[in-house]
Amino acid sequence: MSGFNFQKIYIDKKVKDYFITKNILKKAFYKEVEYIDDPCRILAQRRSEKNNIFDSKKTLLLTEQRGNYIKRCPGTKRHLCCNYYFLNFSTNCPLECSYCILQTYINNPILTLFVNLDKLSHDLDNLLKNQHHRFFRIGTGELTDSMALDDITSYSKSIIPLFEKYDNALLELKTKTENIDDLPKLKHNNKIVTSWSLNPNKIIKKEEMKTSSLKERLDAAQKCQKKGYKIGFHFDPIINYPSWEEDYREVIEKMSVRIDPKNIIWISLGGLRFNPPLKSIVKERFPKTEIFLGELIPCSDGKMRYLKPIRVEMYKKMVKWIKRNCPNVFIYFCMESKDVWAKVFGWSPKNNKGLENLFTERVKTIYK
Amino acid sequence: MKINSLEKTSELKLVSIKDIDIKDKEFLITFPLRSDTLINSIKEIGIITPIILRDMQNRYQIISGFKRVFACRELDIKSIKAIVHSKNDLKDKEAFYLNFYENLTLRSFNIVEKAMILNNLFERIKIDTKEYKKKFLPLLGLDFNKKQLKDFFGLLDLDEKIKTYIVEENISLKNILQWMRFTKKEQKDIYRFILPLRLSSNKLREVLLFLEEICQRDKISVKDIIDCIEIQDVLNNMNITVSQRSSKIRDLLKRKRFPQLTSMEKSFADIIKDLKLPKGIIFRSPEYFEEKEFSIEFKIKNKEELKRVSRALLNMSEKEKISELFKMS
Repeated sequence: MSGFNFQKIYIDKKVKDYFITKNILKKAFYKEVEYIDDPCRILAQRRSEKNNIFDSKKTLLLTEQRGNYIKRCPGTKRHLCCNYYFLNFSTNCPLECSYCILQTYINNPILTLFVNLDKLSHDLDNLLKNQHHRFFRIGTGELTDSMALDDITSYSKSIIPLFEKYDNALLELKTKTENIDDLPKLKHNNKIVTSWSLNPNKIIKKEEMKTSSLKERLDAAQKCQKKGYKIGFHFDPIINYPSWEEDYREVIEKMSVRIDPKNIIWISLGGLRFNPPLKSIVKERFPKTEIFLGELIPCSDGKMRYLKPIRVEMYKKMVKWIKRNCPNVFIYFCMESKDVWAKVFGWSPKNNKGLENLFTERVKTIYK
Repeated sequence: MKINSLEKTSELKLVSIKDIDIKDKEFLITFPLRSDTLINSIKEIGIITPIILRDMQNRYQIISGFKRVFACRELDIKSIKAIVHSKNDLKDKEAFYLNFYENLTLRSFNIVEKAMILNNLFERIKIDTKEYKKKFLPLLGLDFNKKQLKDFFGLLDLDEKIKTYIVEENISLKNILQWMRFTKKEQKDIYRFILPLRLSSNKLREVLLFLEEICQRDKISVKDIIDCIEIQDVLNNMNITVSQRSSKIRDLLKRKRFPQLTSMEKSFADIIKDLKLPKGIIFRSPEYFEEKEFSIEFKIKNKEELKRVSRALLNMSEKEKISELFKMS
């Protein structure tokens, strides 16, 4: 069980009869429920109250997604992006990662869950039905952790079957938790990848509060592997600190012992990056954080990153350790420049489309 | 709260300075207490406005006019004109409001005084949160959440010298809060360190941030940084100006905070020096060596100058050192 306690759950009257709403009311721990006519009014009210981020994670809003459930990753200027798609069933996250970018989204005063999944089915059709020539990778982890609340929402139970009918898409559920009890029971038809973000326990304890330990994450990954899921790993953000080499090497070794490299569909690497306003928010919320102590400099997309030679050195070492333990695994960078790709691998995808094609090939190979 | 009716219960009289309880600072919202301007003004024309006191039967409590009373003591003035309220007619909250609004109409409050006022309202007067947020924060030009407010009150615990420095140098709230992140001892070490540097707001912020991050990363104290030979050499060098000293100190701190970046910047500067570029040609590295492109800037007035620059650039492109430069990004 995720064990999150909520002060209040607001339920948009339009969604009171949905399966996920009923599930949440049955399984979540909460103090109070209020049925509302207008979620916008509640959001506006909460924004004006300037509630802190901690409070925002203690309140749930169940409502309908009025826009498109699926959006293309916006990427970032002058950096390669893999043309990933996001399926946003939620905004905000109950976990407390010190480096989380969501802390700068002031328009996000409540943990919001969209429960009208009939619309999701429609949105998936719109995207996937007429584009058979393309292969889509879709993930739920942009604005929340994919699985953190799955024990009370059962989103996985509702979303996974929707992918069964599409041959040109794969859903990636990305998490920092062990909250995957439903996954081994579900039929995934090789359309679902389960992924874990990994970091050394030192970072998990200090910077990824309310998440599962490294061992718990790998235990969960192993359970999914046993049920035939392909597994993804994301070393993102990689943090540079005095003993980073020893610690990350150990994580990679543990990962490769627990998960058969043949079942690892991809591993992503991404150094810590953030928009400058995040720093003051994090320092106020987590005064003891040490994530900003590296040599972080502003890059051309406005985000702070480690100085290029530091990033390149970190990536080169990570790639070396991964290759040593998982020789043929597919490794990619998230939001890095072509120049960094070239410096680490000796080559670089030509453009975003080139990178997307590499993924498509990878999916074909692993499910062959 | 209307306090017009108090006019009827107060009286204007001449009070002996020795009967005023100067230790009772319950209503003090003035910092610092000593003012040369006020002392000189009193010397010149005496006290113009009466102070406000509360008669506590065996002593007088100052409601408003601390500075004037302290100036009188310094000038050995024996008595002062005062509006005196009786204890029963002027409750604590009314007394505080009287003092606050009297001051508000006459002057602006400095940052320490703002903290004194808010702390008084919050801790002693126990004003309700709504009035506090809607009325007093805007009147004082502040906008805080609860956590920031708690940090802000920490300002009152700062060393007196630091508080005076903050007020005299008009240090920004952002910088004060940054300063307060250090231990009491380190706050004093920083005070002694920055006093001779006369840093502008942005430069002070940079120095405080560098100090904090170096201490946290290297698990050392502020004193360890300040006491290092390079820093001490600059601080003790009397042959440089204040601005040169401050610039050198900032460079040293930057080098400690960003060792790899500053080392790259130095290597770049050394190569450029070795290339012996003619005057007027500026070779720039990509910002933070992140992008691939270097830039060259020059100004020319005529064809001859263009030829001269072209020859210099061609000459430069043939030197071996230039390849080292391009490897840097």
